[in-house]
Amino acid sequence: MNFIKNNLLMIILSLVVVVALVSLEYPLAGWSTRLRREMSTSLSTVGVAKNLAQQTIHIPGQPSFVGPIIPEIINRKQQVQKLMQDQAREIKASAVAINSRGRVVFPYGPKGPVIPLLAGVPEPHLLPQSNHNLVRLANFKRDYQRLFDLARRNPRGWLAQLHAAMPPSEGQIQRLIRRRLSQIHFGLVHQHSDKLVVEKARISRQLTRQAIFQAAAHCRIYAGRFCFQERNFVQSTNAVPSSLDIYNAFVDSWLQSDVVHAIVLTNRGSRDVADSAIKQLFYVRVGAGVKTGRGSLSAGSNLGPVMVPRGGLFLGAGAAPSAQPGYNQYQPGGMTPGYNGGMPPNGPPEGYQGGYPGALPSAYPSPSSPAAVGGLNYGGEMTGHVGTSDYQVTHVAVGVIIAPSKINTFINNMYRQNNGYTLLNVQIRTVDPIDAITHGYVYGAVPAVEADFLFEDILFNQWNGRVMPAAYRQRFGIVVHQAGPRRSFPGNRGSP
Amino acid sequence: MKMKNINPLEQHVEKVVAVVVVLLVAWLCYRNIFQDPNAVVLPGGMSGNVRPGRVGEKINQAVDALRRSVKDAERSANVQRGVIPDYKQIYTLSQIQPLASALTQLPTVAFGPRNQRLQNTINPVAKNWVFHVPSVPRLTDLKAVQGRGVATDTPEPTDIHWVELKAIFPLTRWHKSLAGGSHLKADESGLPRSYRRTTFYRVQVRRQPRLPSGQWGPWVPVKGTYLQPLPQVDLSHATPRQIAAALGLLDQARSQIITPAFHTLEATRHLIAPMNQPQPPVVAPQGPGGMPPFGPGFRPPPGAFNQGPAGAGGARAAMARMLQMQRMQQLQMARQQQQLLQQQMQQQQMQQQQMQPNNGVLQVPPQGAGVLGNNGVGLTDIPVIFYDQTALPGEQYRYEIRVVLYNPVFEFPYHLTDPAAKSQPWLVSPWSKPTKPVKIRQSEYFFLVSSQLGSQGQASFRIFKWVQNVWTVADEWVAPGEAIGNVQQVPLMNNVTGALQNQSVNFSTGYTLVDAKENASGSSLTIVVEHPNGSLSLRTSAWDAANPEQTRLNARVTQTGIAPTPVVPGVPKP
Repeated sequence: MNFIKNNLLMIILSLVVVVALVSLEYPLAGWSTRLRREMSTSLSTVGVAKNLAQQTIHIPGQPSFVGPIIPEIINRKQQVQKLMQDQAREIKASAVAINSRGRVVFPYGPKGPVIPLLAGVPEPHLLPQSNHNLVRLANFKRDYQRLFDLARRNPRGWLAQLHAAMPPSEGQIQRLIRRRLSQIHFGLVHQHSDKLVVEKARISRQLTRQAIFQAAAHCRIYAGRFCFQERNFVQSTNAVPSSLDIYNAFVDSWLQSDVVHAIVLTNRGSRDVADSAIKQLFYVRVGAGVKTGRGSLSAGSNLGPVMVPRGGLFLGAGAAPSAQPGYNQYQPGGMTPGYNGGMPPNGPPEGYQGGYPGALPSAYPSPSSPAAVGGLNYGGEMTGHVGTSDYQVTHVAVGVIIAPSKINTFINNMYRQNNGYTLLNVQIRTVDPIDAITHGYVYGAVPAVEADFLFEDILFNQWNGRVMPAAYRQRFGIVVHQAGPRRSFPGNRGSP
Repeated sequence: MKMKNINPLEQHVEKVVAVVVVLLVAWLCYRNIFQDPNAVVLPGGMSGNVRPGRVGEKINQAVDALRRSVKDAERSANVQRGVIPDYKQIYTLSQIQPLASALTQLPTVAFGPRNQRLQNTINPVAKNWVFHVPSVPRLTDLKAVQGRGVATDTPEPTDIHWVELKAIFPLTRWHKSLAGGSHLKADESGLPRSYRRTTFYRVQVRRQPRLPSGQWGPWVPVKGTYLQPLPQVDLSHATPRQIAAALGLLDQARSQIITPAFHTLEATRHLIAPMNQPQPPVVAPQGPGGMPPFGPGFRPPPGAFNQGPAGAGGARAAMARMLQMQRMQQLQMARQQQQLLQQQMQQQQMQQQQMQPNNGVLQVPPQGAGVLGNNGVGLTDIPVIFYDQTALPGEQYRYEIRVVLYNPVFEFPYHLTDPAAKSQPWLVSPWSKPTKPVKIRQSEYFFLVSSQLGSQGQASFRIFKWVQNVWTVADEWVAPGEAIGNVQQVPLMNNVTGALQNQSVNFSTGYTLVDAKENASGSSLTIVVEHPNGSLSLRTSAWDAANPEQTRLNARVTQTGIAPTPVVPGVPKP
């Protein structure tokens, strides 16, 4: 008690301190924490307002806008989006129109019938389904064969456009030597036999040299008929091309004509093969999965035409039906009604892998191929294009001897032919000019290389689907609205 | 209260506790009063603390700032508008030239083994054939046009006079001369193809001045104007490889040789006076002794040299601003056109160089075709241009022109009808027919304008000079024995700003005043001046006042609005 009395002041002060300390922690501390939390919540509005006032807005074609999002900016963005969407539609329509240029024409407007072009000339009433008129089919076959005519015989022939020729063959050179020796025999007969042999050898060398170089001076490129890919019905006189054959031949001619025109553009202004940028054409192959390289065929050899590739025309379409010799013999009256291109009625056979020679347009994709997502499959080529409901994809392989500085020019000229081309691969090999000249090929004073180009071409279904045979359309699931009743086309040369 | 056995700590413990409590209370007061414990840091990286009582104020400030920024954005958004790219046009253009031109216009790279040349192997040459030496045809259609302007590609704009000569080199005749057959084999096509070369070396010009007697003087060779030095080639001791390299160099410089670049010229200065520019102060021209400087024989045209300072505002100032803007726009357009022309010339030169790569071998031009353009298809004539910048103003000339070509049979390995031609590296064409006389426009005039002598016997002259594409004028009092014309400050237009600015112009005429004498009535003044070549001539104020050339020049100067700076007699010349 005395302690309390003696230390009363201290006890009171201690109690005051204890009460103060406790009150600081509870409940005042809790109230303070809640107050600060509510203040922070309220002050977050300040940050939001500040962020709203400093928004950075990027609109295509407009200067970067820093500030709040105002209705003017929203309207402008909507306008820009609308304009861009309109432009996108126009670009797509323009791309389709450019894609069809030189391949088909619409003589009665875009909604009228579509007429395919063969070397720039309309060939009506053949696609999408031939009307089995033998006269028209024969005219098509004749016109198609004329594309492969030798140079200078047909101005629309590819070889004539290229100013192409081949070096003299050994037989031609021998005949030339014999003829010349017979002409100058009177002057040589009185000479000594040894001198006669030497003189004959000298004249033979001179004539051979002269023949080779004169051939080089009178052409712009070395190319022969069999540099181009032709359909098998050309080889048989009795074969009547089917709709599929005709369509495949049309696509071949479109793409090969583009290659020819690109070479002509690249060689423009040259006087002879030594002056040309592209000096020799080895092959042009069209079709899905074509391979580059000359293979067993020698340069411009006369062993035979370029074989139709086995992969079919379009990616995922299976092989071409006319690849088998004797496949489509002459059939009076055309194809059998209900002909579906040989499609097995009950689906594919067991173990079918797709793409074997002679197979038909397949509705069954190869199980080994990776699945395409959104029309793109990067398991194949770098572009990933495998064909969609908008377009189909095919490949073009070209093998040439070219000046290395003109490789890009040739690629550029190919791109200028059609907007569907994309270069997939280029392989370059050196060329021994001494070896080439021993075979009669003169490449001139500039260096030359052998180049194999692999191009991808896209054909839009919007126009291509309208000339496709039914089997292809069924394969790709293309539904097009054909034009109404056929009208007479003035360019129908084959009409009876 | 007194307690025993208590240590000092126990004795003063209450004081210690009291101090501690006071300190604690003070700290609590300080923290709660001066430091608000509930202040919150502003979010979003903003600096500063906010007390509970100022939260609403901060929010209101932020909202107000947002409203202000919305208003500002609405104003600026209406100003800052861009143009949406025309993607369709971009796509269309990409179809025309899919790859960049830098990729497709690669030069031919010399590497790897080279094949035998095609042209050398056909049409072999027999050793017993004899070939003709080709003759260079005479240039035709020679025309001379004189001009003057301001060269802007020099360090400082320079007034130049020139005569442009244009002629035609008949390429077809030259090719026919190259393809002339040999006398042993009439059907053979002349020189071997590899020797049919057209390489220009020089364009030579000579001129004939008209003498004061009216006769034509001697022919004098003219040094042309070339902005880049022409290549100098000496083939007398060169090896075949060096010859080929030198000819390749000349082929590359072909456009520089036969169609050289000329100065970048400024467009003609506009003749309308800038009324909003400060004009030189108008001083009433005073003659010696307070007499007017112009005698009765000369009266300045109304309005000449007396354009006072323009009004500061109103329609006149607006008109002046508009004229000034038009003047600047036209100047810019002229400069842009000149840049475009230069770019086109450079591109043409590059294309020519790319079309004719020099691989160290003789270039063979296409037979029957020109050397310019794409393989020369359809080109039969080559224009040849020459600029003579040494022509003197006021003189009259006539010109002749010829070209120097590489001799295609230089060091020819076969027989020639003229074997001496094998040692001549160059072939020279005959001189062309002379041009019609061309008179260079005079750039300086002076007239006697005073009809009375000054206080110290001076005579007043008015001197016109063509400077920077405008006529400038200066008045001067000259005493006998003094040269006529000196350096004066003349307001000239600044090319950059378009404003008038005083610049020094040398009005020296080269003439000297020898004597001056008034007539008996004092209405006319007769002077004797000495020509720079020493001849003396007589001038009178009455003749000069009636000179139509002076009237024309006065009108031109009036249009430019550049007034002369009157010189008061008696004031020493600068």
